[in-house]
Amino acid sequence: MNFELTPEQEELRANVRRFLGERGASAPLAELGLTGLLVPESLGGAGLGMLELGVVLEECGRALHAGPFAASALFATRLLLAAATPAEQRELLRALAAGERRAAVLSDASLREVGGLLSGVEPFALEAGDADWLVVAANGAVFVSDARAQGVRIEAAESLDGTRRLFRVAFDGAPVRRLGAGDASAAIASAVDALTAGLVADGVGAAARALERALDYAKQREQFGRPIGSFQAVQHLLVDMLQDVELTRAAAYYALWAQDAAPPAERARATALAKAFASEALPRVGATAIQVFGGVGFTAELDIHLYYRRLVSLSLLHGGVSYQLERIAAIAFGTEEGS
Amino acid sequence: MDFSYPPEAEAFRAELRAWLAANLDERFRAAGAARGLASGPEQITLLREWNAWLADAGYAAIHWPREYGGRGAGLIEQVVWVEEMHRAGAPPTVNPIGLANIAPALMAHGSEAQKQRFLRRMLRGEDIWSQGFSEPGAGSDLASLRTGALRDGAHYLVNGQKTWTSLGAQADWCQLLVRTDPSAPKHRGISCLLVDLRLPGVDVRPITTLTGESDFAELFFRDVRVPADALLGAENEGWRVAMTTLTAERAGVATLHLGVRGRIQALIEDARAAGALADARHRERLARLYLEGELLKLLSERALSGIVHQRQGPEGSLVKLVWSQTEQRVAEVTAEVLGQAALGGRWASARLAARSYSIAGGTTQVNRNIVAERVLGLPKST
Repeated sequence: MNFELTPEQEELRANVRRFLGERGASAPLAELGLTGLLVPESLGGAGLGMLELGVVLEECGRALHAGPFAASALFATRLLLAAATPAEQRELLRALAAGERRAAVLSDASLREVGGLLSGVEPFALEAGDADWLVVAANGAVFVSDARAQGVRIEAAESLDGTRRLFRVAFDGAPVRRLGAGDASAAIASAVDALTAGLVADGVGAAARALERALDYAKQREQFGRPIGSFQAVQHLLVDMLQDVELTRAAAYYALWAQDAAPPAERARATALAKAFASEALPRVGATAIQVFGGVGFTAELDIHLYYRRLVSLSLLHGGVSYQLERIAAIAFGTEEGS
Repeated sequence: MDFSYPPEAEAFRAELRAWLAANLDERFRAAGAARGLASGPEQITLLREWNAWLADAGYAAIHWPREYGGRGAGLIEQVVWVEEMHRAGAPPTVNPIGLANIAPALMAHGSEAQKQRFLRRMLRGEDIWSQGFSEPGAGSDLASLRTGALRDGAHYLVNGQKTWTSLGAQADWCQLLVRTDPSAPKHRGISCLLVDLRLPGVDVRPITTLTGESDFAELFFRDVRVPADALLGAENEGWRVAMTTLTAERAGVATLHLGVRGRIQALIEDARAAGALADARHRERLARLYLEGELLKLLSERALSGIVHQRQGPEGSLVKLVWSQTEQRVAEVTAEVLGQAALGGRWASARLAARSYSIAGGTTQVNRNIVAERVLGLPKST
C-alpha cells in the first residue's frame, strides 16, 4: 500500500515551484524540458508518466500559470501517442518534446470531417491560440491541421476564467490530414481522461493555495481585538476547505496513477470520480476563500478571486458534475431501461 | 504508487479466509447480525464463545504482541483482518473496547500482576470491558471530570457518576477515570482505576437511545471500595494512561469505509429491485452517494499509506468527519430513493441510528475545532 509520491516526484515539484516562483504566471515551462515529459526517450522526451505530469500541473494551478502547457504537453501528446503511427509520432512528437512546436486538441462533438475537410466549432479550446498544430478528434478518428490553414478561425474566448488561455476555434471546411488508422475512439477516450485527471491536479494545486492564502489571512487579520481565525465560525470554514482539498487530492492522485497503471474501465471510473468530486468541491473551496477574506475578497485589487475563476472553469471544462455522475452511474450500476 | 498489499499480508489473508470458512458457523454469524453488541444475554453468550474461538486461533487481537496471544501484526495486516471479517460476515469481537483501547494502556502502564490477571481473559471475551470516561458535566471537555477517588488505606473510595459508557450494561470490568487530586490543574489530578463492576455500590443503568436500543449505560458509584492495586499507572498520571488508549485506534479509522460502502451497495441493489435505477433523479442521487463512499475509501487509503510511510498528513484527522457525513447521507438518500418503504424495516432503524455518527467519538464540531487547531495551526477558539 503506497499512495505516496516518490522523492523524485517531490523533487520535480520543488523545481517547478521554484521556477514558477521566480518567473511568474507565464514562465516558459519548455525551459525546464517539461514539454517532453510524457514523450518517450526515443523521441527526445523524458519518458515519464501522468503522476509526474500531474505534479507539474498541480504547481501550475498553485501559481495560476497561464500556459501554454497542458494542451500540448499532455492532451495532444497523449492523443498522438495513442492514435498516431510511429512515423507520425516521429514527425510530430519530436517537435513537441523539443518545444519547437506546440499543439492543441479539439474534441467538441460538433466537429465533423467530410472528404478531408473539417467543419464545426469548439467554443472553449485550451491554449489553441498558442498552437502551431491543431489535433482534432472527430468521427471517432484523429486529424491534424495547421493552425494557420485556410478555413480555421481562432479568437480569444471571453470566459470567466481569466487565468487560463481559452480560445474559440471555428472550422469552415478546413483541410485536415488523418492520423493513424482504424477506429480511434478508445485512444480519444484515454487522452480525454488523461487531460481530465490533469485538470483536476491543476485544481488541487489552485485550491490548496487558496486555502493557504485564506489561512494566512485568518491568522493575521484582527477584528474585535483578536485574529478572525480564532472564531469557530471561520475555523470551520477553513476545515471544510481542507476536507474538500484533501479528498480531491486523494482522488486526483488515484486518477493520475490509473491513467498509466489501470485497465481502461478502472481508468474511466477513477477519472469520473475525481472530476465529479472536483467539479463540486473545488469551486466551493475557491468561494470559501473569498468568504474568509470578506469585503476585500470581492475586490478586483486582491487576486483571491482568480482561484475561484480557475476552479469554476475547471468544473465546467471536459464534463461537469451531471455528466460525470451519469458516467459513474453507468459504471457502478449499469444502464437501466428508461434512463 | 502501488496499491497492492505486501505478500506477507496476502498470505495472512488467505490463511484467515480459510480459517473463517472452516470455523464461522451460522450460529455465530446470526448472533453478530442480529443486533450487534446491544444484543440480549443469549447472543452475548454466543459472541463470547465466538471470541474464544478467535482467541485460541490467534485471531482475536492480531495487533497484540505474541507474548499476550496476538500476532504482533502491523497496520496492513490489521486492515486485512478487518476486510476479511467484513467479507465473511463474521461478528465483531465481543470486547472491542478492551482489545483495541484498554489493552494498549494495560500493556504500557500495567504491573506484571495486572497483565497476567486481565489480558488473557480479555482476549478470550471472558471479561467484557468498558470505559468510564464521560460524565454528565464532562463530555467533550473530558478533563473536567469529577468522579472522585479518595485513598483509604488499602482501598480507594469511589463516588460519582459516569455516562455514555459503551457496553456498560454488558461489561464485567471498567477502565475508570477518577479525580484523585482535586487541587491539581485539571489534567494532572486524574488517575485510572481498573474496576470490577460487580463491587458493592456500583449501579449500572442502561440508557435507552433514540433508536430504542441500549448501547450505553450510566454507571453510579456510591462509596465503592476499590482495592488500591486496581490503580493503572501512577497516581495522578491517569490522563496520560487514557491518552495511550486513544491513540491506538488508527487501523480502525482506516477501515471505516468498509461498512458504509457495504450499505451503499445494499441500497443500490434495493433501488434496482424497486426499479429506481431507471429514474434519472435517483440515478444521480445514488451516483453521488457512491462517489462519496469511494472518496472516503481513497482518503482512508491515503491516511493508511501516510502512516505506513511516515508521512505526516492531515487525512487521518479528516476520515472520521467524512465518514460520519457519508453514513448520514446514506440514511437520507435511502428515504429519497425508496420513499415510504424507508419508513419501516432495517433502513428505518439505520436512519435513526445515523444521528449518533456525528456525536459519538467526538462531535463533528469538536473534531473541526481540533483539526483547526492541530492541523491548520489556528489560534485556540474562545
